[in-house]
Amino acid sequence: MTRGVILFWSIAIALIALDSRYSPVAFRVEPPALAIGSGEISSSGHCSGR
Amino acid sequence: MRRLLLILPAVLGWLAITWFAGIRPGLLLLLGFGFGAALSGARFGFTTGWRNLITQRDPWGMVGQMILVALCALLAFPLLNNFQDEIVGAVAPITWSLVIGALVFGFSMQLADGCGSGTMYKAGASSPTSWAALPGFVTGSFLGASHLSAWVHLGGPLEFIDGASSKQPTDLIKIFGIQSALLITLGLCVAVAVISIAVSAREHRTKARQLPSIAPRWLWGAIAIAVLYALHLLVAGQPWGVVYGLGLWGAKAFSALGMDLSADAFWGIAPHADRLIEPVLWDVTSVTNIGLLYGALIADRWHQPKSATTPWPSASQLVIGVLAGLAMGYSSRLAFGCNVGAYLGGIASASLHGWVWFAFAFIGSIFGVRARIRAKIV
Repeated sequence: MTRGVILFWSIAIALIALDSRYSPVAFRVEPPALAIGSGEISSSGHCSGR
Repeated sequence: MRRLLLILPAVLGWLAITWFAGIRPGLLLLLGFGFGAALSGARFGFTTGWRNLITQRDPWGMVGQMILVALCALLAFPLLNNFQDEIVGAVAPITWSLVIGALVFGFSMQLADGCGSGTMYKAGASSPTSWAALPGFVTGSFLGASHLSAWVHLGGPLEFIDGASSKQPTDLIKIFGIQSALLITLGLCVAVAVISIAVSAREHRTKARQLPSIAPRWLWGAIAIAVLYALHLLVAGQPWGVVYGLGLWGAKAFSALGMDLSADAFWGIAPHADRLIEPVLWDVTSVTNIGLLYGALIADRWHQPKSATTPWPSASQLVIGVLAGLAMGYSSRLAFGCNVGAYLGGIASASLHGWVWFAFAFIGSIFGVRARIRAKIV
């Protein structure tokens, strides 16, 4: 099973690395560390359909 | 040494994500570790909690969930009420898609032996059935999101009852105010817990058995997850979710394979179209999901390494896992989320759709448990 874990995480890390390397947008204004006190409403997607 | 080998990748991952994506994604990864460790360490299963109630009349999983929901509501309602410009809840309308999606999700999660969070934490803790269910879940979430607007156009049951628009959420805080909304929510949590205990105690009495006492893991699991839930709300500005990230992973995969999603009814519009072209590490739900997967592995391996001879499930069980994952992914998008985003997040956001999700998913689970027994899934 340890081999399975290593394979699972190798695939996951490879996919994350590929995604980070080839995403069309590479720069953004970093959001404040905490949403509370930031004065900004979350613009991320959520399961509730937003 | 083994524990160091478990912690080291977590620290390196946190540093890498903080460096490349920012402080907030780094904090969300840490919260994801916490969610995974709490879910796996406490074996806080929504699926097994319901199944134990249905088959063994063991109410404590359901009671643990109601404690969790009540604690999350207690912590979240004041934040949602007082910081409306910075924190948004998981509010959604009561539509036919919600009813159908919750029914199918409740049914499927019993076959896959894991709901949204359950599939994630079991996949992280190296369950082969959950590994099989995960790609299905990802594909289903992508497709379900893509079809969501068409399903929502079917309307909802409230149109027949009072002619109300089925596209508007029923937000208890907006309707009744925060105190009444909290009283209603806590009252419903207590009612579900009391009914579960009463039904179970009666069944045990008729069989001349004593109802076992609640396992501590349900209590500390509920407290730990509720604290993490509130912290997630403070950091992300939105409730903890699972399936949005999975759908995004699917959309990114299909997009990478050449599918044009620019005209898609969901993935082609803001903010989802933006998420699609940004690195996945910028997405709130994706980062929390990655943390959850690894946190579950840490908790699973902390005390002892998993035996190398753990038996693999049969091929038919793996196929059922893939199909159930697909159904869960699709239905969870119709239902505005899984047990985390809709059931926990919806109720703890004072949205009535969370309670509707709970009711129909539980009905689906009753049939799912029967199907599970017929399919001889252990």
